[in-house]
Amino acid sequence: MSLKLENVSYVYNPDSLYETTALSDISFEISQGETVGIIGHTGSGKSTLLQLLNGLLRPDGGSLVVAGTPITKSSKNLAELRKKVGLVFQYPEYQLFEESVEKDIAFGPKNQGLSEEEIAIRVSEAMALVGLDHSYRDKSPMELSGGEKRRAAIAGVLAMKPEILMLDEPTAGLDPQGREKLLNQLMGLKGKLTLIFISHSMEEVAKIADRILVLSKGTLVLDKPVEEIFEEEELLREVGLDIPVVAKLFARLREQGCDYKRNYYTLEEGLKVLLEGEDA
Amino acid sequence: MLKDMTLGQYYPVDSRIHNLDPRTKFLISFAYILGIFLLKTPLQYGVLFLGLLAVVRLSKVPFSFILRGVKPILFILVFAFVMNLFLTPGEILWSFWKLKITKEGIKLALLMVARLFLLIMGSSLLTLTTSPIKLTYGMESIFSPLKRFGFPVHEMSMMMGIALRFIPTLTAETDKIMKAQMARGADFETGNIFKRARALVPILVPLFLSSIQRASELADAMEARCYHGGEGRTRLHELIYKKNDYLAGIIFIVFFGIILWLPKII
Ligand SMILES: Nc1ncnc2c1ncn2[C@@H]1O[C@H](COP(=O)(O)OP(=O)(O)OP(=O)(O)O)[C@@H](O)[C@H]1O
Ligand SMILES: [Mg+2]
Repeated sequence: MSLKLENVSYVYNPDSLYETTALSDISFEISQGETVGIIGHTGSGKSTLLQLLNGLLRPDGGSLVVAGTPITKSSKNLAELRKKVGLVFQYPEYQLFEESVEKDIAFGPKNQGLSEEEIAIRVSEAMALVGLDHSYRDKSPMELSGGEKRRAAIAGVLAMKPEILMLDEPTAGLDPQGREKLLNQLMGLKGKLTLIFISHSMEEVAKIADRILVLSKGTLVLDKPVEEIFEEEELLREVGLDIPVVAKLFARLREQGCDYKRNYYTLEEGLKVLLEGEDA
Repeated sequence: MLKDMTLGQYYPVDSRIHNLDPRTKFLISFAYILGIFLLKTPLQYGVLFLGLLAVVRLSKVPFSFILRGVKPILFILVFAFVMNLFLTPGEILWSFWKLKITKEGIKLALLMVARLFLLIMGSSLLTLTTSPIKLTYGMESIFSPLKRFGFPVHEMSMMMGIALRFIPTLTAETDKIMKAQMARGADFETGNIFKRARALVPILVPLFLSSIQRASELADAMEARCYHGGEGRTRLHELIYKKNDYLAGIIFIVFFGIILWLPKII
């Protein structure tokens, strides 16, 4: 088991005028190697949840164990934990600070106390994983385009070789091509580590994740495998989410009396079924 | 991570104190600060404290919230107390090795602490009940006579307004960057002073970059809306003294007058 939450809650600015309950009574487990998508309306507590899982925020209630380390209100020295759990923030571009892409990616591994040779290997691997070729090594991060910066920032976390990789809206603000590329690179990571990512797009989550958690107003309203989640169209709509167009199409077709063996929700599968009649 | 910064923070509720003209509050606070230095007896401090409590009550700002603002300067209070306690010559009450506590020392130390405490509580009440925008409008209006001598009053107050406005933004941004670097294993808490100073680089570089970018975006946005300095600029909300402002002024003068007279009566 990779991580486990029991009745976790978190409150921002407790006992003040600005008190906000960001999460309440969240319980779930994620096992090793799973790929989980977290989705929810803006302000539903997704980012807060990831920061809790990385020990950047401490829970106000409930119990939380990540990669074998319990995180409580008074936990200290979670640096060890953060070596195992990589977190890529929403809009991670701003965290770039070194003079070259290479040095910036090396920042994490250096903090882990690795040797020079090991760091060099890690940097090369991470750059390859996110699709940045050799020519980017010596460029200043400030010269990169938005999408390239994003990839450099993600490489900076991948280079730490986390057991659990968490990404907060990795594709936000990217153009369709950049988005597609990044998604494919994430697909490539599937199964190699525990992957948890946040997205606003059902299409995206449906494409990558095996399992989806839906947050609404700080509570966990749904936790289901992808194949089943889109049967909950009503509930999803209630919490301000939509289901992928393809899933919608098949739901309507079913209503019209067509019978399919299972649920389809990605464009590729949908096309196969409709054009080639491959229903299995 | 960066909490407990009530000093200079606005507490947004609706109260009679909040609704006073910022100039009124500014002038009264100024007079109050000068006035504190005229007080001599414990009785005077006590009465002033009661008066201040009444104002706090009216302002609807919880007393505990104001006290939190005093916490960061607790060290200064203790320091002032200890220095005055031991270093004032006079009638010796108690002595140990080279340390002497004198009667005058106790008195002075207590007065000093009371003075500092009232000073900070009073002035934080000004910022707690006045939004940064109103505060700068007020200052601009009070100092506007200086324009005649070529002093850039409007520009100064605009700068101050922007600075105040961006404190929370920058605090949030710093917090965000710190967390992002901590997630990459950065360590800000251990090591000697050089190591810690070096550890700040990954925070400061992104912070400066984004501040510069933000500043240039703000300048563009202001120009796009035809901002060109204070010349001929009118306001949506003009500052006008109302009944309550005169009332507040009169109450303050009468109250402080009584306090100053107290030692002569009793
Ligand atoms: N630093 C903070 N201080 C106070 N309140 C906060 C802070 N960060 C988030 N919140 C509040 O907590 C709640 C959850 O925020 P969170 O950032 O986790 O939402 P989110 O699901 O990630 O939203 P988005 O999709 O917009 O990124 C919101 O109501 C937000 O206003
Ligand atoms: Mg978020």
